[in-house]
Amino acid sequence: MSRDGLVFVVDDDISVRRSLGVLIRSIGLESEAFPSAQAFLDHPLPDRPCCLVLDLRLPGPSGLDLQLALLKRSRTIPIIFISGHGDVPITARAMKGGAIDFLSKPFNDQDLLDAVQRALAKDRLARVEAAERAVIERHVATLTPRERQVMLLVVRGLLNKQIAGELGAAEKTIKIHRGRMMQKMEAGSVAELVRMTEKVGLSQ
Amino acid sequence: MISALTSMRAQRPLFDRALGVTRAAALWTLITLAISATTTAAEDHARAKTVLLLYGESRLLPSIVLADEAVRAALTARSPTPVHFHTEYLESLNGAAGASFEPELARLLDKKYARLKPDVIIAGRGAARFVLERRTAIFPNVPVVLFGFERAALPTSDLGAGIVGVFASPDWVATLELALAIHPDTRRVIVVHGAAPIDRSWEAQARRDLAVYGRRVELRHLTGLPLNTLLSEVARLPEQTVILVGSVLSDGNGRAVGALAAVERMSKVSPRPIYGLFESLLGQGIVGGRLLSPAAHGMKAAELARRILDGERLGPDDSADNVGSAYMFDARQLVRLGVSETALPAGSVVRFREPSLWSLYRWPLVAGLSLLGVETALIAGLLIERRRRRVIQKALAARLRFERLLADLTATFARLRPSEVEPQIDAALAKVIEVLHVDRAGLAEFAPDGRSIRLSHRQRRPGLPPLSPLLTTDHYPWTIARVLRGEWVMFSRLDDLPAEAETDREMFRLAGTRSFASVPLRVGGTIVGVLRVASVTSERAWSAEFLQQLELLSEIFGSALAQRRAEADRREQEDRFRTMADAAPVMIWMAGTDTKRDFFNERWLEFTGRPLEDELGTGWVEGVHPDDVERCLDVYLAAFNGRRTFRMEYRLRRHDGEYRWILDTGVARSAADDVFIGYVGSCVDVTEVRAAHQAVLDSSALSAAMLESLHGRVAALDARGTIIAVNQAWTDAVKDVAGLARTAVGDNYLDVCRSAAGDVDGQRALSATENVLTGRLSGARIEYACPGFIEARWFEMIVEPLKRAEGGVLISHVDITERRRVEEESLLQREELAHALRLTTLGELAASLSHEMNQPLTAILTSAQAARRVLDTPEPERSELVRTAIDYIIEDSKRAAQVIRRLRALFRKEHAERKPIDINALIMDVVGLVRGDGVRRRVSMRFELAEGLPVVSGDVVQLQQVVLNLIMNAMEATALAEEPREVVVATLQTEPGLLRFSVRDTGVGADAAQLEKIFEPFVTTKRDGLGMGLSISRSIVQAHGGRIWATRNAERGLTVQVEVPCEEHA
Repeated sequence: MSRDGLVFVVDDDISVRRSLGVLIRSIGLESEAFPSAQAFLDHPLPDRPCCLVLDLRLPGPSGLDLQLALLKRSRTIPIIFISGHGDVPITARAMKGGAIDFLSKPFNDQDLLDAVQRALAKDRLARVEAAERAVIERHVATLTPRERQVMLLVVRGLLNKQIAGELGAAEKTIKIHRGRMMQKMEAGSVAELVRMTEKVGLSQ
Repeated sequence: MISALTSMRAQRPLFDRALGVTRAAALWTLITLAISATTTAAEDHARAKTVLLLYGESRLLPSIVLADEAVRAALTARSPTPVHFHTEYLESLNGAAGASFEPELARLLDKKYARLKPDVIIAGRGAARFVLERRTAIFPNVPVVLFGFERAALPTSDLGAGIVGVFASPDWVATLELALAIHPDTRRVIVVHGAAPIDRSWEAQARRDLAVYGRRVELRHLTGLPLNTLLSEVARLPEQTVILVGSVLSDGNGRAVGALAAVERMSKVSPRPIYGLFESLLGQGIVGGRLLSPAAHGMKAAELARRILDGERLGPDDSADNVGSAYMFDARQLVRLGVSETALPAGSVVRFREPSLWSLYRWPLVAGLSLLGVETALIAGLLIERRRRRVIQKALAARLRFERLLADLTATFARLRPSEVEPQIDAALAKVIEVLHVDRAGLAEFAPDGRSIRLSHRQRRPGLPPLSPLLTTDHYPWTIARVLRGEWVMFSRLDDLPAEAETDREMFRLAGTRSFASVPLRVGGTIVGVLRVASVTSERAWSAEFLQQLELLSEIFGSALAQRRAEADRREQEDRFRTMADAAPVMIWMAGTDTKRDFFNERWLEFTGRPLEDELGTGWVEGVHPDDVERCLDVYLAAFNGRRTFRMEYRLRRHDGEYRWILDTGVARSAADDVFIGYVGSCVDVTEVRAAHQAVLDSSALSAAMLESLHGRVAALDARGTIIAVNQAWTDAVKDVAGLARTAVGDNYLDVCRSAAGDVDGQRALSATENVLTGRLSGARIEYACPGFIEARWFEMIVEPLKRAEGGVLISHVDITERRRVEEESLLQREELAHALRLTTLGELAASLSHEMNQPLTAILTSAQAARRVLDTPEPERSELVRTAIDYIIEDSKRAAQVIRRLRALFRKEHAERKPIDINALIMDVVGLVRGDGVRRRVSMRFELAEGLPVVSGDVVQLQQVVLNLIMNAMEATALAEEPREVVVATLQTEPGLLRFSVRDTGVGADAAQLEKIFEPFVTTKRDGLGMGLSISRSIVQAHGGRIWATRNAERGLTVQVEVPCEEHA
């Protein structure tokens, strides 16, 4: 278990905030607490895996509102909902929105910590994937329009000859484009290339 | 006509035309010949004949020319084969040197005609000798025809075979005889001869022939003179001299002259008659003579030649003598010498006639004259016609004028209203005078006693004296007697009157009447008088036609008089009527056929207060109310058109300005013969009646409307239960719902209910109705359900007594489904509200409680758990966390305690909302919520609310909750009990500053032990009650500084009382 994770806590009740903080620190993680959704939104997200423990009932925008707002952001952060009310329909909505877990107060410490761990792991993974995507996108950006076209056709499984026919160019030319493209993309194989394009959502 | 004549003069004289015709004929024959010749040319060419013509004289000698022409013409005309002519002129043989030429000439001819052998030779005088001598040499065996001279001139008398001749001798004797016959007083005869040998031989013959006439006349031969000498001699010739001319081929000077020239010149110098021997001389100056025609000679010669050509062998015996001589004269000479043609021998040919106008233009003249004649006849005819027509036209015009008069009068009288007839009669009579051209015209009518006759209308021409108007039968007995018999009386003159008309005649004479005519005047078949006309200025003959015209006029006047009489009768009738009308108590009017009202009685005029003149015609319409005018007139005029009786109501302005309703009834009236003559009408003031009627209508309309407006289905029953009236809703319902069958007017409602006996509701309805009908109940109300298609419908049936003498009930069924639904809804709402009210407080508390508690509890738990974790893990740097956690725990526990404290504080005075409250209003508000409940549970509520209570200072919601709680408890308790079920709410002021309100029920109540316990929480007798109601209520009351307790009622049930502080005064 790595120690680089950060757990955010958003709850309007100070007792809850502090106790949660202690609990999180008890397993060696860091935490930061906010009294409202807006306070949390105003705080920039650090460049480390993090997650959010979020109370449903908040002054101003509710926990769900915050979830929605976060979904719209480029960096989504895994959320663990806590609530003193236990409304079923709200639970469903929360989970549909992609929450890790939903816990009612008073909750079991272990349940909470497990959820935190899961959340952090998820975030870690997401960050890695994001980084990968960024790399791929950088590579793609360096492609010439022709190379890009070629790449798109390659990932569709077309042979050079076919690609040549499709684009109205000579096979030899295609070959050259292809070579350069693969280099730029740092793809060792077509399968790799396909995974790359999938990751960035280019392959159709 | 004249122009025709002049045009004719321009045409050629008949002679020329005749010649032209001959020439034309000749031409035609030539053409025919030519055609026939050409067609047969081929065949005939071989057989063409050759004719040789030999002349011994100059070619141009007239006689030669004529003869030659004739010969050629004759020969060609009659020849089927072509004839070729050759001509030789041998005049060179004449004269001194002639003989020397002859042999040369002969040789020439011989040579010429060696091959051209002629078929026949025709020789004239001068060539005869040559031909005869040289014939055998030059023309052997060619037949010869000699012509144109006298036998005596023949060289030999023995001609020989093949020679034939046509001879002619100049007939001196005949010519002289002729001359002497024509000019009997001739004393001298001059015979002129030329100097040529032929002339001499002629002279010789002349001397011989005429010698004998020397005895009768002085005879002188002028021979061989030079022309001038001859002419001067001739010019000197005295009267009674006749000149004869022979052959003058040449004169004494040897100059060629020719008889023609000689005659021409001689005729110029001398007026003496000249006679000649040759046809060619005619027209050149000779009077005439027995003239030789060279043409005739020629023709005869041709004839002989023709015969020769045709193959005949002719000899001297075939010769002809004296051919072509005739007596010929020049008409001009005859005219000049004044010789009439009767003096001429018979068969004389007269040429050069100056044709008379008649002979020249005979046919045009005839045509012209006849045209003139026709024209004249036409003009004459037209003139006669015109005069006749004028006469007829005049007659027609007169007729037409009369017809027009008739038409005019008929039309005039037809158009007139009877009252206008009188003056028109006079005008008509004036017209009669004009058209018929009489001096007096008039109508005379018998008096009723038949004895006298009165001139009722008379007209006269201006300037004439008038007649006396009254005449008795004594004055004109005869006339009147005849008139009475229906006869015409007329005379053109006084004298025409018979003897028995003596008196009449005298009267007429006195009156100045010259002519008189009269026809009977009839009215309706009876003779009532006469139409008479008279002429004063002159006598007049009366035609039958005239009398007939008078008859026609009489008819017109008769009918006019009839009209007038009818008018008079009518007038009289009308006057009687008017008198009656004025006495009548109703308003009366009369109108003529033109819809205009011409009479209003006194009543009418009194009513309108206007003078009669203003009302007459269409003036009365002014009094009609403007809104009614159109309708009024429509009805009025429509009725008029149909001659129908009409009734109409309209408003008419009374004299005081108020509009009163009038009922106007109009009836068509007709004269004795069913002729429509107008209307008579009567009017009454129906204003009050109308108003009353209207009121009745209104009220019944109102009642009906009220009945119809009723929401429910209403039926009225009589005392026996029979339906006597229903409203529309009832009728509609009967149609819609099968269950309400047979419940229309006339059906017995009780029977209906009885028939539905099985139905509980039906039973109830029946008993209710019966009870009210019998008076046992003063009214009944039943609610029942009616199964419908979709949902059950609830109805309320109300039975009430019908307040009238005959009794009966009024039944109404009202659909209260909606009402019930609303009530139930409201009940539900109320319960929810109550529940909600209950819950709200509790809920809020609970929510608040749970939340407030939950937070710190959660935190405490979390902190504790965190501490334990830290203690579990051997990591010294986290030991601080334990301390932190425990700190948190302590703090949060304190917080939790605080929550409880706060909760308690909720019920304390200082946290509730304080307001001034009117307890009665508050109670009624709450009651409003629960009333329906009461109805449903069949618990009635009663209130004993004191007036003028002071306000209570408190929390509205809380106090409402208390009241609600108490009332609901009371209701619930009472609902389960028996009648009477009643909840009583009371308020009163017990003492200044204290207010008590109580809720008393008639429920099951409670025993003494329970009375206190019920205020404790979670104590309830209700099945699903929380048991919090009263405890909360107690809390609230106490929070308000009051107290709450319950007491048992004397009879049954509980009373819960609440006492709270209030203001000192209201």
